[in-house]
Amino acid sequence: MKVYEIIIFIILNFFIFFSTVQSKYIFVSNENSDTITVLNKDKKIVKTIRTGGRPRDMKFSLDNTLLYVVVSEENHIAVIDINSLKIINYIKSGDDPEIFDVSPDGKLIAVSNEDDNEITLIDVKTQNKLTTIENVGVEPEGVNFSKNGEFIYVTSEGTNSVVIINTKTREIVNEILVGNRPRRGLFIKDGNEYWVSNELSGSVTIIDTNNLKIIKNLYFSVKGIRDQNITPVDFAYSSKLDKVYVTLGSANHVAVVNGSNYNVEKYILAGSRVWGAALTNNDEELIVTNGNSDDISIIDLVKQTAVSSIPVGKTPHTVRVMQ
Amino acid sequence: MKLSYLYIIFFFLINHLQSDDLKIYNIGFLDIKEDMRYSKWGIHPVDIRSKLNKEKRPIQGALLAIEDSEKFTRLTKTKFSIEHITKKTYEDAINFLNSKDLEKFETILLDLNLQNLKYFKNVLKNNPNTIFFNISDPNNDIRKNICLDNFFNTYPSNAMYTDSIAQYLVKKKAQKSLLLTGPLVEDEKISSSFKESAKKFGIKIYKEKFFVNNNDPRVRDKNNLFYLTKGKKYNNVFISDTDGEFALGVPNATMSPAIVSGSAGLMAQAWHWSYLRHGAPQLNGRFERMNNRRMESKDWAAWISIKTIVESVLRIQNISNKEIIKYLKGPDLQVDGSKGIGLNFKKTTNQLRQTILLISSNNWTTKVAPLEEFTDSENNLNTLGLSYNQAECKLEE
Repeated sequence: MKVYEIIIFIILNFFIFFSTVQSKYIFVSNENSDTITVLNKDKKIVKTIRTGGRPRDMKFSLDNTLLYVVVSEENHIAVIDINSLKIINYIKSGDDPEIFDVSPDGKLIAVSNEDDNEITLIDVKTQNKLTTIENVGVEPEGVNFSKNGEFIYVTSEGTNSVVIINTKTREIVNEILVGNRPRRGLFIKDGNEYWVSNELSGSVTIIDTNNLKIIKNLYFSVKGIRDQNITPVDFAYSSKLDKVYVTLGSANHVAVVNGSNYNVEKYILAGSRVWGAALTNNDEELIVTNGNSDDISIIDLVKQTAVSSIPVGKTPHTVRVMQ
Repeated sequence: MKLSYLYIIFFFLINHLQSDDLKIYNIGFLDIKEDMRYSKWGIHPVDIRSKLNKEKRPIQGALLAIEDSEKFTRLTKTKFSIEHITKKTYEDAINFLNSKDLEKFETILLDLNLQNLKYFKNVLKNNPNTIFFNISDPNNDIRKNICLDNFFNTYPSNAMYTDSIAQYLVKKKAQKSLLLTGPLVEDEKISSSFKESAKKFGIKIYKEKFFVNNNDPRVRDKNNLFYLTKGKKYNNVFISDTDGEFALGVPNATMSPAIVSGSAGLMAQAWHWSYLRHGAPQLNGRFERMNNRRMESKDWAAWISIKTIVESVLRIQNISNKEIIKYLKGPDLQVDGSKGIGLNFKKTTNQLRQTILLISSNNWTTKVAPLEEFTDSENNLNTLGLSYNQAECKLEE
């Protein structure tokens, strides 16, 4: 091999490397086919990554080079290298992990262990378990670090509450009663508000994080659908548009909520049992996972309607878009 | 030595503080020692002969609910305690309800096959400040005749069970039934409930036959499936067999192809380990780790009974039974039974509305009732079980 060939080879590789990193991917975890479907920005499936037992929540590392995926039945977090789209590592997560969050400084991961009523705290650098925080209620699910990372908010499905943990002391410092079966949480407005989806109450509780008072219990009403079938689960938030998108589960709709006045502006039809949600395309599109129809819906937020649906794996759970 | 004194003082102080901080709510679990339902009925013949056979008493569901309730302590500020009261006979159990000992308890879970409902109702009437839960008797007459503010049914009624199966048969267009009824009073009750369900959902019972579980050649028309199921006029067989042994042999053995349901084949249950949605695996996991066996319908009913009390205290921040009853009967109760829908009580019958699982061969959840095609103007769960106006005592209270 001559020198110039080597140089061309290096340049080509360099080019391929950067073009890959710059392209946006959409990741969908399929909890019953044990895979992650990877789509490119044109929404074409480019790869299916096998993860093993029940992949659910996913988060990006701070530098956007890694994707963390909880693999619930394997009791670990798989680390996917976004460049090669391969699993490069596993982090032990405690039993039956479901939802997790990465701290704002990227140093910690907090995972909910539904079966053991615990939260596991992991050091990202060493990948060691730092501690488990017990007694966070029956079936903890949603986990969110507050904006400065000072607190961890945990939604507890079985105890209808949000448990607040001091990240430093690792102690439970507060507990707030919300609606029934709280599934996920979302910080908005620079962390000043915490929204909680109450699956069985069919509502969202909005908490002021400064005084921990409930600002509002937001109820939904979709024409032609029984209140008992309105089962809110996941959120997506556009700070640009000041809108919160709430997936309504068995109601098969996504609610568009005004972030300032809390009015529900629109219900957009999605697929069957709509759960996960993520924004893309400069907040002009919303992608949602439909757990009972094994597909994702692409919702055009300008037209406020679903424009296409793409089959993925069995029981899609979470969707994440590289920004 | 000094240190140990300090430790003891510290221990007392802690205990003292705890008891001061928490209110106490006392629950009693009442059952009887010799209960056919746990020693014989519904038990697989293999299990009867197995050393591993343990009586599956629902007290274990109640104990799980107490353990779960401890996770609520920060918000309820209440300690829920339970005492297991086992009496020798049914009469002893009723005597207990009539005695002063009852005063120790705010709530009683009744794990009894209730007899003489008129008298039983009077016993409850004399204790209006105690809350009672029926956690194991499906008898429709209980729902029709005991309409008291302090008495709740968390275990499904026979009507809910047979309605669920009827909905499924209608959906599968198998509306011609052969009804096989066993020799027990309980079997007759299930069959009469199925007849009511058939009428309600448009199923034709082409014939009712009565079986016995023996090998006597003189009664082969009653113990031999060739004679019991001959003919082609049916496309489903509903079997009422509380004892359960005869029913096990019916699926795949009818003379004409038929869906078999009731006590074998497709069975309606409040709870089953094969249900995989709505947090059911988590509940099953907790129960199995605690009790080394799988959770069943009566365990679930005991568990949800205590959970409704805990949920009430959580929401109203009050442990007085007067307020709890008001909340339980009110429109706000939406208790989470890991069945994916908020549960509450029907008016008058005080029956917990709930989805019913239709289980195949005791190992898979085939369908959840009510089926989507069956709707009600108020709540789709109302399509299962007795409606308010079927209660015979509503004018009395």
